[in-house]
Amino acid sequence: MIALLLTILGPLAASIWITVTRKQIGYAALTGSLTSLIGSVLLFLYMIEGQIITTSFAGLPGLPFRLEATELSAVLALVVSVITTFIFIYAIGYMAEEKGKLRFWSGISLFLGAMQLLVLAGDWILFVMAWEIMGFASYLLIGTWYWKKEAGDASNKAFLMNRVADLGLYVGVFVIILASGSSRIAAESVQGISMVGALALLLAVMGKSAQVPFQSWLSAAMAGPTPVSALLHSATMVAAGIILLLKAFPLFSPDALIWVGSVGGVTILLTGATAVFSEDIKRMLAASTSSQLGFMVLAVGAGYPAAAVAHLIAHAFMKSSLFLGAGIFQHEIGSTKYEKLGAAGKKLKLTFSGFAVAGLALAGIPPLIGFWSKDAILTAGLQADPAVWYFPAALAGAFFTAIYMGRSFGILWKGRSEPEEKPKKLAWMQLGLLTLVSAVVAGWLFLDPLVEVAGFSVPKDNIAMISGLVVASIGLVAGWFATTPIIKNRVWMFFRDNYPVAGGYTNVIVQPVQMLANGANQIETRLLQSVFTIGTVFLAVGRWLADVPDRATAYVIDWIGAFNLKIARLSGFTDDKGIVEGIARLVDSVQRIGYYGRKIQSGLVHRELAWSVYGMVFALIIILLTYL
Amino acid sequence: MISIQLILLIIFGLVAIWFGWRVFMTSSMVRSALSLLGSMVAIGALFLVMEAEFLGVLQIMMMGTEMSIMAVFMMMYMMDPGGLGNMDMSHQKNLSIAAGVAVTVLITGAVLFADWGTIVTQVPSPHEQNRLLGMEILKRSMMIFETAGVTILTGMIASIAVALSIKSSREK
Amino acid sequence: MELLITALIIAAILFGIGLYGALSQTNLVMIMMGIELMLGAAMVNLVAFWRYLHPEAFSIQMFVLVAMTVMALEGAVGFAIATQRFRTSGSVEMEESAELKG
Repeated sequence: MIALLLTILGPLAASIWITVTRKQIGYAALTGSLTSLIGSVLLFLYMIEGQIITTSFAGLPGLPFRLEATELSAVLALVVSVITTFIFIYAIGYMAEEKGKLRFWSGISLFLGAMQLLVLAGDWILFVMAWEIMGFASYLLIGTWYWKKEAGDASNKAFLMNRVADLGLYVGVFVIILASGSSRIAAESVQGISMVGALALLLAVMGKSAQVPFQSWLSAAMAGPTPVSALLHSATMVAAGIILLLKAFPLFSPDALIWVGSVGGVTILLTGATAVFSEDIKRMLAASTSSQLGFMVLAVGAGYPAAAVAHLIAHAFMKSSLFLGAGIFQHEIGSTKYEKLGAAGKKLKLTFSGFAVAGLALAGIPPLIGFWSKDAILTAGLQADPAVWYFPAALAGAFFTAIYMGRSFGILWKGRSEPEEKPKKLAWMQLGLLTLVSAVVAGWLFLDPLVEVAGFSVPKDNIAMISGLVVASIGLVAGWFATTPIIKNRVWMFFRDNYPVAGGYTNVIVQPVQMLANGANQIETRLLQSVFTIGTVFLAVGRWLADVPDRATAYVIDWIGAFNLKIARLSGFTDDKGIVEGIARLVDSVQRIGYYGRKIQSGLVHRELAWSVYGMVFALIIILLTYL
Repeated sequence: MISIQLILLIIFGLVAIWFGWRVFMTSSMVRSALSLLGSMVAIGALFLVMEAEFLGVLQIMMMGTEMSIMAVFMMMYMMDPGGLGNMDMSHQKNLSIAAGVAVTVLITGAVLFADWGTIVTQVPSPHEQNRLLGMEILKRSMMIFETAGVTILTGMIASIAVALSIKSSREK
Repeated sequence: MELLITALIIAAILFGIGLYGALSQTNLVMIMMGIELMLGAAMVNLVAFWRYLHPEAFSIQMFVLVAMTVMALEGAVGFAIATQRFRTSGSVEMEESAELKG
């Protein structure tokens, strides 16, 4: 129980501390993260010994809140807290010279608490609450530098898109609770839910995990600080959608799973293409995140959640390393655009090597962690029954991955560069980066056992492994040589800008909504006017009615008035003579008593004492008399 | 039934009364204070005779200290500490005598004519008494004790506050 | 029975003497002495009741302790007032002090 509380409440307490005291905020947040780490390690150890920690407390009537550290939850909590701790270390260095520290640190601690709550939630209501808090934290964090226009717009866009998709979550959870009668997240499939419910949940996943057609908010969210991108938008928050899929997986019917897989496959291809043609390293990584999440969605849709879990864990480490590396480049060069980043790798060799290792892992080169997880997904695609096109889609996605990673390597390395001075606190950033990269390297040691501990078994297949390797190698080489930083071709620009249809988000969504709001405003004004008119009409009618003279009524009213006047005069008389006079006399008598009383008082101590003695004697006599 | 306790009671009682009388009959201030000390010590002895050992010892110890301080204050504030001037420093004498006598008579009457019930002859040993008094203080009468403590503190603060001089605070 | 009555009468006489002193003395410190005598008499009364009527009830001894506390406190505060009065008007005689006359 304490482990659960530590994991969730540690970072929340840190967030409150930061907001209230505003002292030592970076280290306070790090402390909160370490608390969460300790708690999740404890939960993991308990879980390995076979003890599942649960606790439940009061919630809605009939639907108590539960926290449950199942196998999967404990593993995920551990992964989340490990990655977050190292990203915090990195962020201490990154944010050292940036503005907006208070908002950043309190928001990211809040986010960590909410994420752990989501991972450890044992019932759907807590899950939804944590989902919402995470969305809010993401809004705060993307807008850390809110004075920049693109940051404010991006946070709005992210929040609104997520909000629309969250409707799906509400409908889905509603369906689940109705179908099963309780809000508990059950590991065994109780009974399936209808297609509507499944599609609603899929909608929520699409929004949160930036699947097509909701993927553009993730690219825009790169306007936030890099630690935010590394934590939220690669490893944890967007993974929340996948976690939703994993927890709800037993409830999906095979038909629903086909939809899931299709969404995943389409996303892999489209966003992979966006990443290939991207001009900006962080946008490339954002599109890559959507693509990798598409892999995970596809794996679930193919019926192999194990592969999704493996890739979730692996991707968390890889993508956060990539983002951290990109952040160091951004810190140094001052921009994230490819055209400015030429030969940045030669300047910051250590960072580039970390970036390269993580990138190779993402492309799927053994023995790095990405190879194993990608292999699992390709196997899943190959062995899935219903849709034979899963495997080609996954393979093409792997190809794209290799291309865009190779391209980024090429741009970062080629060219000449002059050595510059190192920034302050680079050591913090490098420490965070390198620890995560070492997890990437050592991945082959712990990935399979970890997934197995989480209760799944990873699929493996030789054909998948070989085709994956082939595709990865070709892609990397191709990417290395295709290093034009700016794309001028119209078609490729269409891919790069996330397929703006009919003018994109602004035109398709924002303007119609504003027109709708204006229209509603007009209707309301008209309604108000008509209500006023009705009121005036009635008033006029009433006045006309009142003008009709009725002599009898007037006479009666007159008589009643005169009678009342007489009564009033009579009572006034009694008041004056009787009551007022009485009060005056009362006051007078009190004054006289006071006058005589004053004479007794002498102010001398012994006289006063004497009076008290008289009183005492008097009392004694009375007591004696009652007794005798 | 003349028991040793009765004799001692009467002896110490007379000592207390005599000393009490001497407090107000002498014109020397120091002698008044010392007479009061004597009276209080006699009262303490009465407690000891009545087998309330703890209270008796407490009374004697406390009163010793208090009377010496009172003697010091007497000498500070009296016009004639030595009492050599032979002035009669009293007023409303008749009233006071009447009041004192009346009260004494009334109380004696009440004492003599009331029905006191049976007299208990067995008293716990002093060791036992202390233990039981301690238990009483710390169990049932804990609140009273605490209140007494707080009252002492308040008294200390009040007396210091009252006795502070305006001039001395300005000098600082 | 005699024991009890003797003790109570002793207390009554002491109380009377104390009362006489409190009423007849002009000096503040003497008045305080009278009050202390009265309190002492009350304590003798209490102890007599304890000893002869209820030796098992130690709350009576508690009462005596509280009365002793009150005696000490009243002495302290009274002397503080006497000090202050001495400072402001030069003497502690109660005969002239009619400031509280209303």
